[in-house]
Amino acid sequence: MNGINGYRLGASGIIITFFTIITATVLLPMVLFNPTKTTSANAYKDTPYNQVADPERGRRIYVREGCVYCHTQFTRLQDRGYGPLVKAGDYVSETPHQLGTARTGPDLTNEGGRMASEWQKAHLVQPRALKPGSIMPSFSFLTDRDMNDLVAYLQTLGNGRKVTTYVQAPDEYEKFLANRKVDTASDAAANAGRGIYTQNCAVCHGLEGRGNGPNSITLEKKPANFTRAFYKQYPDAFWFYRVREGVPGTRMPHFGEILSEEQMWYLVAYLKTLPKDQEEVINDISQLNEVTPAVKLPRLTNQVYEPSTGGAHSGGEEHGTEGPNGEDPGNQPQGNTPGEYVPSKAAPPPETAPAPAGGH
Amino acid sequence: MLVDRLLSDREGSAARNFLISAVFWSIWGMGAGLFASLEFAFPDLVHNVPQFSMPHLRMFHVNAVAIGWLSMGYVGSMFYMVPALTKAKLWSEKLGNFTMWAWNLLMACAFGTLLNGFTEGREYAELGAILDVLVVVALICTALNIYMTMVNRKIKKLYVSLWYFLGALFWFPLVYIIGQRTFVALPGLNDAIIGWFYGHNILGMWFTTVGVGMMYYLLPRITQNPLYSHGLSMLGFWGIALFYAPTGTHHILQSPVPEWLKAIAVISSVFLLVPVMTVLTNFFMTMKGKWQMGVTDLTLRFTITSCIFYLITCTQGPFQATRWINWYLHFTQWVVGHAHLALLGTFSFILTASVYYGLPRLTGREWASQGLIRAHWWLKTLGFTLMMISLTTAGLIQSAGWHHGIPIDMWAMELKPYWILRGISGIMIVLGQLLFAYNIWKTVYTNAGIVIDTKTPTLSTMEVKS
Repeated sequence: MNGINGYRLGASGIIITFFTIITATVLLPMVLFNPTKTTSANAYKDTPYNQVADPERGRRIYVREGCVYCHTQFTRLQDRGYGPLVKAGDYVSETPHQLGTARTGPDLTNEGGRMASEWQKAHLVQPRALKPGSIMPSFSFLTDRDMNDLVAYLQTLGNGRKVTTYVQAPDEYEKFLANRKVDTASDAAANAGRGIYTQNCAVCHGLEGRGNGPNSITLEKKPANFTRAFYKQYPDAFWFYRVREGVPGTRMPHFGEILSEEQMWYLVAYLKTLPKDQEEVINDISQLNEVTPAVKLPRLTNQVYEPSTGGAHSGGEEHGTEGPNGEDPGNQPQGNTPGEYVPSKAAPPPETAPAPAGGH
Repeated sequence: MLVDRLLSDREGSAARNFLISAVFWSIWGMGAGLFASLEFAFPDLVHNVPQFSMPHLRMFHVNAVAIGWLSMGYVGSMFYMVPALTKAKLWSEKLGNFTMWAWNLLMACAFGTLLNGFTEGREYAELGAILDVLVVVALICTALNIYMTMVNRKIKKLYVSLWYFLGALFWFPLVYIIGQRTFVALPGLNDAIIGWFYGHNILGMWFTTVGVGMMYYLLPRITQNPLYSHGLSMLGFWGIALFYAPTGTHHILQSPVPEWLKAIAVISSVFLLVPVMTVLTNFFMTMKGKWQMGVTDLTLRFTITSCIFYLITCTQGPFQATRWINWYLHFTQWVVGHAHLALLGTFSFILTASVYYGLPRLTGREWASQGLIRAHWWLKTLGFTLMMISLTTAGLIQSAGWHHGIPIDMWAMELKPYWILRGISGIMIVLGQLLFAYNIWKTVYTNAGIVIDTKTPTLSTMEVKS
């Protein structure tokens, strides 16, 4: 042991350094950081899915199939369109954690309820049939039980997080509202706003406010379709805010720079008169500005995946809760139901994992 | 006797077996990576084969290159470098060979389990409970062997490489045990904090420390230049020991973990520039006057390439760990590129150099073909550069997409050219590795290897010039 003596100092340095760091960055967080479980955490028990599938087992399938390598499970401040922000207490019972480090696919924090269970299942079997250009692998090798549990798990993601507040106009807009000289409920004001709309807004939002103006075809973020039900609950101050300051993240300009306050209030009056209708998406120049009948899109429901009888699920059973606008659920166009899914030639789905087709 | 054959006590046999096993597993690991990358480019390549689905291939790819190729190669390299630096025989060749078999068994089990989806679901800690125990046993056997060799050393002064090996073999088994969380179920975010403590320190306390130790060994040996400064090398060692371990939380900077932990992680990440620049100054000053040797000496060329990639990766790292750059770049393929820059660009290159340097001295045979080594270098360097460019560009496209809130459906297809380029780079790298393996087979197992020393090589008498 002759050599060791001279190096005691160094060796103890290695040991002391390491244990100091372990204390600071491993033990201390374990002691000091104990968030209490929040109500917004994912609930896997007593969900509508428990009757037909097991979300907790679905989580183990999620872990086993390595979904975490491409899908994250935390929303960040800078994320848009992924729902409410997570809190520390949301993860108390999430072990092993599936936070993830790469988003090759979308974030799944609040995925539950975003798509119908049939859609999720079809998407797991052949993602590219539903999302062209997706590079997600096909999970057609999962058994029917695995698939149902996994879908049940996906549908519970974010089920504790509810949207409680929308973006609101800043406080200064109360002042604008108090000072306005235009009666935004009057026909005269709406008529005055029509011309302002035609000159400034129609080029993107379309003459009918459907978001289908000629410019819309070149925009990556499509202009708002004012005929959607969502816009019918806008208060005057919020319309005024959006007109005056534009919409962050889009090409919507700040009209406060070119319109007077009075003109903008006339515009608000007109915008409030736009009819309520269905959303439509313009993909082709020939669709622009032609009067089309209202398109009935399939509803995205929280519908429970029906336990399959005899292996294949019948897509025709898609009767759930009432649609957002109360239209007859039976009127859905055939082309948009998941039942239309046709597996690619390269990969006939195996006996154990049938596509959620069949019924039609 | 079979036992004598399997657990040989011939000097240098453990190191030789470890290096050859490492190259064997590198082909499987890199092959799995290539397969997975082709599935990014052509997602419908394979259907209905769970073993070949991308996430399963990725699990095996990461574990095979990290635990198989790099770690086994590191242990093999230490098994020949430590005796050479201490002028003492390896404490127990039998124990070394036993460790080698345990490690190979572990890798075979990893192949069987990970591809079938038996995973703990923790990134970089996927191996199951039994395999975790096996890794720890193998690491402790290795540490015992190296420590006892150092205790029996004939040269009193410890060269800086030995400091790195000494530290790594103490730190890494502990980091591994803490990081696995096999037998505990922690609350989600605490699980993530420990997970990234481990995930970053498998790099900081193992791949970096041993890898830099190997650079310290190889550069002065090959160039026959004395090390520029022992003082700087000590500063670098203690800097890495202090600043590397707390950085893990920079992987989850935007998640709701405590802010003070994020602050520690970011600050120590930036401080890492100090030891890295110290180490590299030392390397590049040691190279002074000998740069032209890189043209003819291919082992040196691999070493220099590794040092240069180390410079790039360690400048990139601290900057992307700062909050605002991380805010933009996180979650994208940029980070994947960075990880490959460290593990493939830096540490895989230095390990390759170590194999090219060590195997002839361990087997007494000169390399069968210099042309194959040259081809290996070109394929690996060009392939890796292409991979880095494609991943970084893809990462910037993704960053822009996430940052501006554009739905992924709108830009996912834009990445396809980069996935294809990455696949091509993977083909080049795997091809290079196959040539490497062929060269080893030719040298060691056929008569093509030119015998340079008929006697059993004695590492402990190899010349120390440092």
